[in-house]
Amino acid sequence: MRRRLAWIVIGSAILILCGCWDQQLLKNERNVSIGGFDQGIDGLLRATVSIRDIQVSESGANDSSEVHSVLARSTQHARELLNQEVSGGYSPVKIRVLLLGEEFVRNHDFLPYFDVYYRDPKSPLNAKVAVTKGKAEDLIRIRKIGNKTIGLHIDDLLKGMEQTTAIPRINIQTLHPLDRGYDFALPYLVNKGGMPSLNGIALFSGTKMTEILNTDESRLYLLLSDSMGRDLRMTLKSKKINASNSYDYVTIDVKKIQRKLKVKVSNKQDISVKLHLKLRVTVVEDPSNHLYDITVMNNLERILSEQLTDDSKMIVHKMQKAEHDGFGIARRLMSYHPKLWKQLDWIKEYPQIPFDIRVSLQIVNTGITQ
Amino acid sequence: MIAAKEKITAGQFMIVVIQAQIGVGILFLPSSVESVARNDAWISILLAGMAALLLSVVMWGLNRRFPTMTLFEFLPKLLGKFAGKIVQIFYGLAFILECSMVLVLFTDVVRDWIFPITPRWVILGLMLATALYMARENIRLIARFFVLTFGLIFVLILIAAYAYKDANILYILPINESGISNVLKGMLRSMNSLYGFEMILLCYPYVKGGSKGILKATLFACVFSTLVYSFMVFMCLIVFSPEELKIIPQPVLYMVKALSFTVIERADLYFLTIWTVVVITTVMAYLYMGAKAVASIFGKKKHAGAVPYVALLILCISLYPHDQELINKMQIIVGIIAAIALVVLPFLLLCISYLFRIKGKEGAEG
Repeated sequence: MRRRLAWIVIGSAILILCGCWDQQLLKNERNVSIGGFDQGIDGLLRATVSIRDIQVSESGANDSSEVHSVLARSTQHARELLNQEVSGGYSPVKIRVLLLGEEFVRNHDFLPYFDVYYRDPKSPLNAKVAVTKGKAEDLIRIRKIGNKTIGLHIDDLLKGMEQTTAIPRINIQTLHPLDRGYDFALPYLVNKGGMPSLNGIALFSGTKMTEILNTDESRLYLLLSDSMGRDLRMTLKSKKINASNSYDYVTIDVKKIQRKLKVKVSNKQDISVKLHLKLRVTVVEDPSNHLYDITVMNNLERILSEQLTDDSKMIVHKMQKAEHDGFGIARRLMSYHPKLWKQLDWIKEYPQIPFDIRVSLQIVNTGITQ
Repeated sequence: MIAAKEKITAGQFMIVVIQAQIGVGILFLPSSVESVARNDAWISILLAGMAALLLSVVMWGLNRRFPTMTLFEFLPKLLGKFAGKIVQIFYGLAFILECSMVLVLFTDVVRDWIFPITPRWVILGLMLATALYMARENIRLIARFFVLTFGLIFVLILIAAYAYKDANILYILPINESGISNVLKGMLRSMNSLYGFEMILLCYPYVKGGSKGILKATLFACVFSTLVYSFMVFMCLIVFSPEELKIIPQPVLYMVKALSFTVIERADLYFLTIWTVVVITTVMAYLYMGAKAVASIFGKKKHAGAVPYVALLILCISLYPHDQELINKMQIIVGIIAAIALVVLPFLLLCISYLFRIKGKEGAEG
């Protein structure tokens, strides 16, 4: 009797308690696939979202994208306002990409608007973040490209670009900019005639955007910061003179990188940085076909090395001017020279630091022709 | 005399101690220790592990003198009837409070991370009902269950280890920035999570084999738990910057949350699911010890009858604290009581035992 009673209690508890309190059904939720922040009027936030709906019919699934924009005081306020517009429950937990308008991040500290993403346990911490030229809203209003909704499209675009090392791997969690001792860079998207397209990376100083690097520069930047993706391809000039036709270019695949970054502090408390980069590359395109000769090859190696060194110096110069510490020099100072760090005015000091940059390159493979 | 079918092996005993030790603390430890010891928190944990080793040696030394008795059986012999009873009540209180503390912290995490609306009594009730079912049995069955679920600890370690891809080893440097005193403070804070070796006080007569085997098992268990804890703390230290750790109360979960495997998103939910089992073993261990204490206070030999009442008491205590402030206060009180029960008392008892030459009869298995 007692045993039977126990079973009845357990059985009814299982039946009744299921989904009593914290049930959230996917069918009742309207999931946002991409969101965007822009600067609104009067210091308000202009938030735009695209909600992805899937209608399954006999001819297969069909995606549709519904775009809403609101003017809100904060991110959570924006969510409330959006919920008033959207039918069904508004749910931001499946966001894939978060776009930030350039004007917004250049003039505003965007961190307060991100707080809710770090606080809510359901929030999508692995959503990607990107900066857009102009307004994020314009990009989201494209709605669909081919069969893909805009959120999916930009997510896939960024994923592909991460693999080819055009942009750093970054999501909401990894950019959390609290006293990390290095600054982050985000992908920079432009609207190219109704088509989102990657145009390099946006450099941040603290939480404000300060500079843009184009895609060629961003690849080298990522090499210098030792964060190569799956593969990396660069097309460089193969001659010292100004290139006039396509015979003067050579394309290389970077196979292996070896980076040495040393922050030196002299006795007089002067900081200097030594940054040496060794690359092992494969030549994948060389129209002039002259690599069978070892001297020519060595010559090419020398030219490319010089070119990359010069470009790197330019990039570092740009970074210093933009007060963007992408290599984590500050972190190294904090870790290895904590006493010096405490008395340092980093924002003033950083642009003055001399960098000793050298890139050397070695061709290890030339494909199936020489 | 203890029946042979209630005996456990030294290996099983080791796992019982590990399961009692590793519990709710694994989530809170990194940030609570980091808040005092900064980036040297991992040193604090290692030191705490050494302290735990020392304490378990003291307890072992005490039990070795009464090889056929549990703590509650030899207490009256050492202290006399009246004082023995008081100390028994104190131990019972300590175990019950520790168990409630574990449950309070557990429901807090579950509320914050998975079920924000579900009332606390449901979660507490479910946890205690499961623990009650197991804790009524003898130590052998409990040990078998603990061995069965032991592997899950390694799954937790594996999931956490995956976060290494976001790590930056530079956060550890400079070593010893916070100074010795802060490291020691951090050590005191982490002691709470290493409690669990007191199982030796109650299980000693049930373990097969000589006293050396038992000592070895306890020491291995302490070393294992310390290593698991320091690994977790180390991972959190290199994944998060110091400023971040300040505002994240459960860094291990946070670290796991951002991971995305090919098919699985929100790894923290999987982590929590497995972790629930690890916590429930801790609850079972304490419920068992609490019930043993209560049963012996009332002069009963079998503990099974006391388990439901102890569970009810624990439920009431863990429902009480509502806000963070109360929880913090409770943590401090429980910390003090546990420190007296596990650090001061065993040492005193050992001294008394040696000074007055009180010893248990050498049993057949002594």
